[in-house]
Amino acid sequence: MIRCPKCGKMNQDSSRFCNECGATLPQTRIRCPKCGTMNPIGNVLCMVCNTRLLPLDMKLPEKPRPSEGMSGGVKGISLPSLSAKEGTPEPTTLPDWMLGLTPESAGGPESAAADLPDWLTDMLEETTEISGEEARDVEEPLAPQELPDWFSALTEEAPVSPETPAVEESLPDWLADMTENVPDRSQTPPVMTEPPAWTAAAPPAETFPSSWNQAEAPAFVPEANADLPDWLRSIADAPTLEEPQSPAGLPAWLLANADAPVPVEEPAAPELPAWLLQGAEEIPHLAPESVKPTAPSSLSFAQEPVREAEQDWLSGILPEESAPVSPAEAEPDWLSGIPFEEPEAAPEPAPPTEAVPDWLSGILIEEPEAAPEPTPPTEAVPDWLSGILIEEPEAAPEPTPPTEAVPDWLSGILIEEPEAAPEPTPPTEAVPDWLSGILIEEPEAAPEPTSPMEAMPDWLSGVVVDETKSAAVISEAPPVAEEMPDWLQGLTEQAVSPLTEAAGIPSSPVITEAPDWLAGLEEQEKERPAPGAPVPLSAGEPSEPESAMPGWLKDIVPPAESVSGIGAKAIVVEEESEVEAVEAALFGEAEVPEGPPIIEEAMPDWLKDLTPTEMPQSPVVEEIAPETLARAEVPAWLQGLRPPGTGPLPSLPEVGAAAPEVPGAEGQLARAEIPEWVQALRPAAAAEHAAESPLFPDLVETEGPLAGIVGVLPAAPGVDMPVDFEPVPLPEIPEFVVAHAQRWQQLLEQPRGIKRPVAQQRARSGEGEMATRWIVALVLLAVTILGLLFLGDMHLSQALSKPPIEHLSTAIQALEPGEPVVVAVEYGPAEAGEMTPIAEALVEHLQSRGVHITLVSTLPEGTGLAQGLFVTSDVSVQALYLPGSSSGIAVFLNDDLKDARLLVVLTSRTERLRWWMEQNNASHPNAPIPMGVGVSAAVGPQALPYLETPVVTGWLVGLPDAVAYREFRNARDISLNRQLDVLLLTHWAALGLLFFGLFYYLARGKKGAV
Amino acid sequence: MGNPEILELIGLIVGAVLTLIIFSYLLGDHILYRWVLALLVGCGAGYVMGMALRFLWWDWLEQARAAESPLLKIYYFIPLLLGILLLFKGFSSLKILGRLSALGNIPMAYLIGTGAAVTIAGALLGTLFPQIAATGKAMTLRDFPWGLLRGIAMLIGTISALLVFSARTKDRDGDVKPVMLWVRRFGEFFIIVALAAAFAGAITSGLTLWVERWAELFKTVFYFIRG
Amino acid sequence: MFKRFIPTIVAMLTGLFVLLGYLLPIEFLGLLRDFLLRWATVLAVFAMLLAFLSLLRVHLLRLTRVRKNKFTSFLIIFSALGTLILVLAQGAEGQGTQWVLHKILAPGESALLALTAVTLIAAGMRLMRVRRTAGSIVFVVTAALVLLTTVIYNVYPDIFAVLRQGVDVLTMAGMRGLLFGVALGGTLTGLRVILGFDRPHSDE
Repeated sequence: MIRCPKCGKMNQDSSRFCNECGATLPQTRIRCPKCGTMNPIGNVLCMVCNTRLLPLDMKLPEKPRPSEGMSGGVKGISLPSLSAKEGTPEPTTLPDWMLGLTPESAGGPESAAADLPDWLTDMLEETTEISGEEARDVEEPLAPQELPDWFSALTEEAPVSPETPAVEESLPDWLADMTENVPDRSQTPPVMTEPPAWTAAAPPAETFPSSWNQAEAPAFVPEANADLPDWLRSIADAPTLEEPQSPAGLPAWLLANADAPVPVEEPAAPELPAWLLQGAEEIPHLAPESVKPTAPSSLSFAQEPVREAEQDWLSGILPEESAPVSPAEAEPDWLSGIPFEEPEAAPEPAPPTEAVPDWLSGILIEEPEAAPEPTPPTEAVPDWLSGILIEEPEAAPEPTPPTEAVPDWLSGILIEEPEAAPEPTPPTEAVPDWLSGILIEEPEAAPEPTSPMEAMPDWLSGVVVDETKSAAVISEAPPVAEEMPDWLQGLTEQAVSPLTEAAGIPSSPVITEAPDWLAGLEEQEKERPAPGAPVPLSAGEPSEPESAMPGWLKDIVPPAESVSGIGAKAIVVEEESEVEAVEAALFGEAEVPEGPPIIEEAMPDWLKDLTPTEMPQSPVVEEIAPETLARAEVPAWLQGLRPPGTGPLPSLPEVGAAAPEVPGAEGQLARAEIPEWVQALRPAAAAEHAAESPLFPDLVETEGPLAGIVGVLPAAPGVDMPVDFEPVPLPEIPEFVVAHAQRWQQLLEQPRGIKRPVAQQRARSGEGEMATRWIVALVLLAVTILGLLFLGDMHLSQALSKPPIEHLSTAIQALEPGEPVVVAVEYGPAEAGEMTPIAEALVEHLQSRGVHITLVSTLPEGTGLAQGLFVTSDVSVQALYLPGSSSGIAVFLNDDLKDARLLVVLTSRTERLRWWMEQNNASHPNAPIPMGVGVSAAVGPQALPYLETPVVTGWLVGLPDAVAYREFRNARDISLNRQLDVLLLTHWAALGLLFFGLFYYLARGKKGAV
Repeated sequence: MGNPEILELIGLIVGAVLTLIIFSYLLGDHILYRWVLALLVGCGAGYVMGMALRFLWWDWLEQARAAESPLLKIYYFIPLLLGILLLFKGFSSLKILGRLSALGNIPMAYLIGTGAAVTIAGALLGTLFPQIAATGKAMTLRDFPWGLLRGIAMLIGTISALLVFSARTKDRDGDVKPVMLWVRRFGEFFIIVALAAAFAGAITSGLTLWVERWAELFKTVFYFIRG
Repeated sequence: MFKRFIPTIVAMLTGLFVLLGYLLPIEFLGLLRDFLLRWATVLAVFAMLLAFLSLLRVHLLRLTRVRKNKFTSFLIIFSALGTLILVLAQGAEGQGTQWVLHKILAPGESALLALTAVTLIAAGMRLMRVRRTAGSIVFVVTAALVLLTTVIYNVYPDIFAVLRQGVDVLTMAGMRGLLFGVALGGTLTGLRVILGFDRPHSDE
């Protein structure tokens, strides 16, 4: 059953639209990437082609650690998959399409390109080439022949550089367009050309949110951007294009992201949607004035899909800590009602959970006790998000300008301190916004202040972990690709690392690990030098804590013990049994290592589900989240974002029980009062009712700019069961019902190809049946002819006088002349040959008695046949036709036959006799008319129950009784006796044939097998 | 040879030909057989319709015409009106008359209502009560012990045959109760015997007609042979 | 209204009055019952007329629209109308009517019914080929016994007397059970019609 996300009605699995409201229903099946078969959610393999549906076998390619120059600048959503000892990401954990993006080594992008799809290979080659000193020359216009018509028009208007690399010709259109529109920014002045017509209707840039506003930094706008649609121009015109370096290793659509702007503080408030502003205005401390200028930061075209996914209404979920971005600005209306504590009124580290809703407080990472800095933002964070907040490390020397990369809808979530992020981090600029947030890079050295968040997607930048607070931490951060989801690791290493390598700028991997919507939380805490906060990772040292979790989740998780040293506990997860862990998790057999990973606590349920599939048991050094993280709950709308096929994990051991409790964590946030309707959205049961098998289907994007890319998280949720669904124990069902249902299910699940039993018309009589019929006919014919021709006067049978015959004859004989007698002739012409002798025998007897005979019939032919009974007699009797069947009989008996002395019924049809019998009894219940009955041999056995009732004085059955009656009355008819003799012979023949068939087929077998 | 004799002779020939054509069906289906069937169907329908119309005309309308009082005329007129409404049921596929076909439901309901009442009364008064009484009366000591055994066998057979079609032979789980299983088996046995008797009776009737038809054929043949 | 409501009321009322006329010893109800039943017989004639017209319409359509078996349809229409005219003109006792009845209908239909003997015997022979069960054996054996006791009994009455009585008892018991079922089913169906639960008259 599928619960309609709109109206909540339960629909059948096969429904695509809600039966109630017509809303589109989420997908509840996994499409096989090979054959396209829709498989049930629980399937690991395709039921048709056995193709694995789950990306269990994804391995990261062997590649140098980020510390060696290939810092995983881009990290995706991934769960710990690497051993802390090895510290190297598993190449096989990347999806195929990402493997191509992941260079084998820092200096070997060519090898990585072998695994890339063509369009990415081209990009890889291109970016590799430009990763060096020529990086600034790579932005050359694409060959227009590859562009779609609608875009070629745009490119014609754009200045075309003669140095257009040939490789871009093979780019997909949508990428080629983007690539083309990324000119040499270092040389080409930004020219705002006439936008295409389809952008004319777009609102002016001023009306865009701050993150979309390019008017602030026109100097960085590449000239080709003028041809871009507004939504692209807004990205491309971001004010970070002053970094002309080309992000080597990135695809063209990521190149734009390499131009991630230096965070430019822009007032985000004016760009906030009205409903957000309204919500912000309602909260004083979230007033637009305090909104931190969140730079668009997403110059990447690849950010566009993310931007589509961005929702302004989310931007206000997480209020920022102090300044540049006021949380209230981003606060959605539905959260505006949540009372947030005034940040300025919280100089002391306020208890984070004060303003955090309960259901989010669990996500919150406890701050170290000694954290000197208050974390006001968390006060405004709803409970369900407050749990996401990561404990701030004590020392966060590295400023992180992440808010620029934070989307509007999440900017409010960010808890950032802009003054602590003075300089951007160029390397991560190459990362698309939507990916940069996932990055958890920890460059060995961060000499340059980097702002990786700029390159992060808005929605991911918020997830950035706070390990960038310390420059040392950032520079010496271990490779973070381990923590990245497989499908993003390739991006990380391929796009960021070459870039940083070429630019000589170490990447700041950690920051990019978090999505925007979590980055705010990170940065907010990063800025707080909390005594006792986890010590940042040291350079060259594998960041064990992060390696065990996806980058975007690192933000949620407190710093590793090795880093923080306080309030955290490292957990090493074995990596060898990754696949086993996934499968075990799927089938509920997952063994949770001792000291359950904190990530389980910090993650929402739908991310927990991803855990075993992505990072089951890879060695991970992870911090243990505070106990409150275990209560992390994700609202329904986030549950809806869960990729299809994923479900909540089987319940894991309570992490909080084993994790050391971080004092003061709970007391730092003030509990916020959540409106009831928000409370109603709390997926309270989701965390408790974990699905059996978390799935992460290897889906292929079918449309949009990401079409053809494998492993893309679809926007449509695959939830097929309401989060608060509690199965009601069914009463015991009988086995036969279950068997019946299973049979039906089996029938329904049969593929169409299977031939099903269909009721078919029985084949026409075959030769055997026809031969049998001929044999019977020949035997009967022979017997009949012989009897008729040769029997003569030789009487074989004798007419036996039986009691019924005698009683009937006696009853007729007792009639006085003139007494009314009714004779009902209830047989048709078909039975006349058999019934006429019976009728004639009785009628002759009645006529001999001189009674008044009334001939009636409910059959129209009966009257004519009755008329024939008297043809040879001198008595003319008119037969009456009684229409209306039993009604006619009733009328006749009630009106005309009250004084009849005898009712003789001659019939060859059982129902006629029954009608006469019933109506005679019903019309004269006290004294029914005495009846004499003459019936055919066929009716005889069926009429036995009626014949042996007191109202029937006697009866004749068939020709033998008719002959016997005549014999009894001494009125023999020779012809009838001859017929009876022949009939006797045919009976013997029939008996012989029946027994022959009986024994023959008993011996021969059912289907002819002897 | 007078006119009736010619008709009789033609009738013999026609009857013989029809019989042979129909019997030839044993060799396989053919067009003559179908034509004979069509002839029989048409003649039968025409005969029935003729008799019905004669009843309507001579028995009903003549009485209505002879009725003196208006009430009596109304009495005869109402069923005619209802009958005309009933005929509208035959034109339901037409546009104009089709709308009036709903009026035919009234006489149809009348027919069904009266028929249901007659059926109920007949079943109760003519079948159930007499048959129950006859079943009980069969339990007699007159011809002891055969009479008693006969009555017991008849009682058991009647009840078990009736219970064969009863749904109460199964419990809630759908399993047949052991006792009821045996009752059903008994009932099925009795029903099989009854149906076999009817089957044999049908064979006997068929054979009777078979013999009668061949006897008529030979009679016809001998008529022409012997004159 | 005319499709459902009024017909249901009519069926219920007529059925109720007729039934009461049977069950209650009230003279008025008896007269009312006869009164209503007479009308029903007239309506039955109209119903037969409707059936006859329907038959004619079908075969007239087949004559005009269907290419195959046109002569069959023509034969049906021709014979039906000819016989109708003949019967209307002469009545049941007319010479022509009697000739049609006894020289066409009776031989033809009797021959058709005679064919059933061959078919039934052939089917009985092949029964064990189709269904090899104990019931099949009982069926065939019982049929054979009934055949023996129907006609052959007349030759050897002393031999088959006991056998015939036994067969009669078993047959009567089974048939009586079936009759009970038929009567109960008919009663229940009739009651549902009278009470308005079933409305077979309302085009449903």
